[in-house]
Amino acid sequence: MPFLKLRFTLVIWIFSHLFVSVYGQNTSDSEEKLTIFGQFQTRANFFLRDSLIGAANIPQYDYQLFGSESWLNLQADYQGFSLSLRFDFFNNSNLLIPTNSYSDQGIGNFLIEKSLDKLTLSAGYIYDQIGSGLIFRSFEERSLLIDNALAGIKLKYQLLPDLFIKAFAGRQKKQFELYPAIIRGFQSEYFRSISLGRKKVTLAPGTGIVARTIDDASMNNLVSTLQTYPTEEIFIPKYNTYAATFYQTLQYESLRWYSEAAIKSKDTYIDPFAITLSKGDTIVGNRYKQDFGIVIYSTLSYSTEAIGITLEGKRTKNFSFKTRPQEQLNRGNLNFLPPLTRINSFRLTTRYNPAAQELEEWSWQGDLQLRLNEDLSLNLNHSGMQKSAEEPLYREWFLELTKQSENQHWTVGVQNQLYNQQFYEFKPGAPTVKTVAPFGEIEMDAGKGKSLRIEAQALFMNKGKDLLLNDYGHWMFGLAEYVLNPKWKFSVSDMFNWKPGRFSPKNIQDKAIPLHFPRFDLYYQPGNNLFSLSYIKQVEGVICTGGICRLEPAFSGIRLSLNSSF
Amino acid sequence: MYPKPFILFFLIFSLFLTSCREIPLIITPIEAISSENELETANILIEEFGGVRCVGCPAGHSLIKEMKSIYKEKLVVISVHTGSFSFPYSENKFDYRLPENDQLINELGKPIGYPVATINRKLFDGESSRMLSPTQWPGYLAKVISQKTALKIEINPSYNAGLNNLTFTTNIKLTRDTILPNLYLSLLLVEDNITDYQLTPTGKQPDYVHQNVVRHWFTPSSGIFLSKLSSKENLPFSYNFILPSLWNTNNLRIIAIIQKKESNTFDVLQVIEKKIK
Repeated sequence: MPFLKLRFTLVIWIFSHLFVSVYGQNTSDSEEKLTIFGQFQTRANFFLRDSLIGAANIPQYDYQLFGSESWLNLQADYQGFSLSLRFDFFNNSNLLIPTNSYSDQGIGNFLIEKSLDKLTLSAGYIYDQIGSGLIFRSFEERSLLIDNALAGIKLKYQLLPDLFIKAFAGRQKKQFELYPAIIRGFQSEYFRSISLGRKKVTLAPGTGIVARTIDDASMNNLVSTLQTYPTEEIFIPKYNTYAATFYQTLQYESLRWYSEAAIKSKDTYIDPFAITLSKGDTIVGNRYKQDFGIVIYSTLSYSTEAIGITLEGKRTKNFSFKTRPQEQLNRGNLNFLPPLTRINSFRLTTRYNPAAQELEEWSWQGDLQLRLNEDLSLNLNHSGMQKSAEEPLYREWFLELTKQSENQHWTVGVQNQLYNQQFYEFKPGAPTVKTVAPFGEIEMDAGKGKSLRIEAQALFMNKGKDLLLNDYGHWMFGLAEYVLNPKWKFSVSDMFNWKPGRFSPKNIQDKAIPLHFPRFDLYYQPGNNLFSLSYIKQVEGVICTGGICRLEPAFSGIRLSLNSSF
Repeated sequence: MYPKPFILFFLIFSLFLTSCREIPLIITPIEAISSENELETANILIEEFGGVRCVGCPAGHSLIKEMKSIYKEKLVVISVHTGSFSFPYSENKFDYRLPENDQLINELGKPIGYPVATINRKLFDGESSRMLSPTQWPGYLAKVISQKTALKIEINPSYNAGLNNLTFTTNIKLTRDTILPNLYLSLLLVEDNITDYQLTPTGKQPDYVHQNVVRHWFTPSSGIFLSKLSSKENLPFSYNFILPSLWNTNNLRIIAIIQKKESNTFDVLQVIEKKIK
């Protein structure tokens, strides 16, 4: 690809000139020195077929047996120049499509930045966002192999000490290629501090606009599809879509209020739940639609040493904003809709995750953090998501108490969830899941760098009208982690489906049987390198990162990984 | 106040709002084509992948029905049951999965979700996979619908009702003097109008009518290599098959697919179908 070749030539040129400069000059000024740093991450999976848990029938389990992913980041700074470079390697990897294998390699990211007085120039693969990302966010999320970098140019100008403007243009990255649609955007932020006697109020308003122009091939494909629709459903698609946002942060002492409102001009999107009448049949499924979009998002927080309160709310309507209308699921997203659900960390409390909805959503969250005394603190959280007034999509109540003593750290709590599995996982007839998940953790410091952490959790599932336990039924989970010294750490855990439910894996007699999902981990960290070796059996489930979710199949195998920084 | 910066700010902001108006496209509903096929115009293969547990598949089937009403005989459809959603329910009359179906999807590349289909097994410009989601089918169909071919395929079936035995010969020939290397022939049998369980958005439907279901592969799904093709003589292939008694012989069709296979190319050059009786 010409772009890749150009990038590569440019990289070699810049690196060679940087080195020539650094050795050609003899300066004692530390700012004049070339600094290079970076990170390396690799993960190798040895797949062990286990058809009972569903770890089968994909190439890695059936015949490839091995897959790996690696990333090497390098960053060099010199005389106001900043150059970053990332090499990506995928060998029979299941990260892009969990049911398939993907192999490729190349320069995954490349960026040059230079500050010239008040102007900062950036060229290459740009990660950035406007406001909270409602109209534009380009980011990397490795666990889901999302890399929405914008390949293009960004200019940022500091008009005043407290006001900047920013403009960018480019195309979105798609693995080692680029989507053809052209994206352009503008952003400005202002900061003002106002004195009210002895106290201060700070204001930080901002605004942004993003426009996308669809390429001819995508438009032709869209038009050909619309031509097959009944006359009353045909609409005239637009090449250009505009999304604008206004956001502000207001802070007064311990009180902080962030609010953002975004609108989008008429845009074509796929409605996966569209109901269509076709030749007498009622069809539910993907259908192109065109409409205006809106998102309103606000968060209010109050925080002191003893108490922290956060209230959040979001309303979303037709706000799917993709690089082209044909893209679905997590592909080609230009924006990011923040999820208003608690980010849980205990294994069984993370089993059910609701994805943020692009087309229709009301969601809210309230969080209370209380410091009851010096050692004891409490966290109470509630979040919910609704599509319409009738049926709840998601509810969560979460209570956690933590107690800290000299050499012990205790955590106990309980979570109660309601999760509309039929909606989130598109499983017709699946009853709404209601769970109660108590959990506890103790971490004991044994001195001399040694420590032991033990976790115990359970998940109790509700029954459907047919008296069968919903989804996978009841679970138990136990974990023991021992830190021998700062270099060595061991961990053993088991997730046990002790009372299987309607969707639990079945044996050849078509009977759901209790299954264990054990995991053993060994960590070794000499200096800046962290090695890990794991044996994993992992149940199928929805994996979410920041509100972006996908259904991950079960995993069975041995995983080797290395994380290094230098 | 800071007039100059704010003027600059509004100037740049307003640039985005200029040229908001674009010349609107004109879209007219597509009309059904003439059922007579033009000489040397290839038929088009839609290969839809899914299964009885694929909740989105009925919407895909409906779209295919719509396409079929537009493109008529030019469009040849096969429904390949494979992947995680093809595992039959205990209530299903048949297990529609076949090892050749799995081989086919492994060769063409597994999709991110179902339903998906390939159109002439082609990797279209700008796509990273041959597996296309339903909203892309009509667009890419329109792109290949005028594809020409120099291949002529004939299928001559003979069905013996007493023995429930199907015999057929396939003759292949070039319509003009040309060289077409790396061609592979696949032959298969599909059945229409099978009433059986299917998952739909409203739940498991016992009386869902399945169409174009692949029932049997006479050749490997990756095809058999064709050599000695010429414009002078037919290249014949003969097959004999005892039909299972539960298959409805009134609804069976033989399908012949010729594809060009080169490194990462599987493009279908011609496909034809013929009812067995």
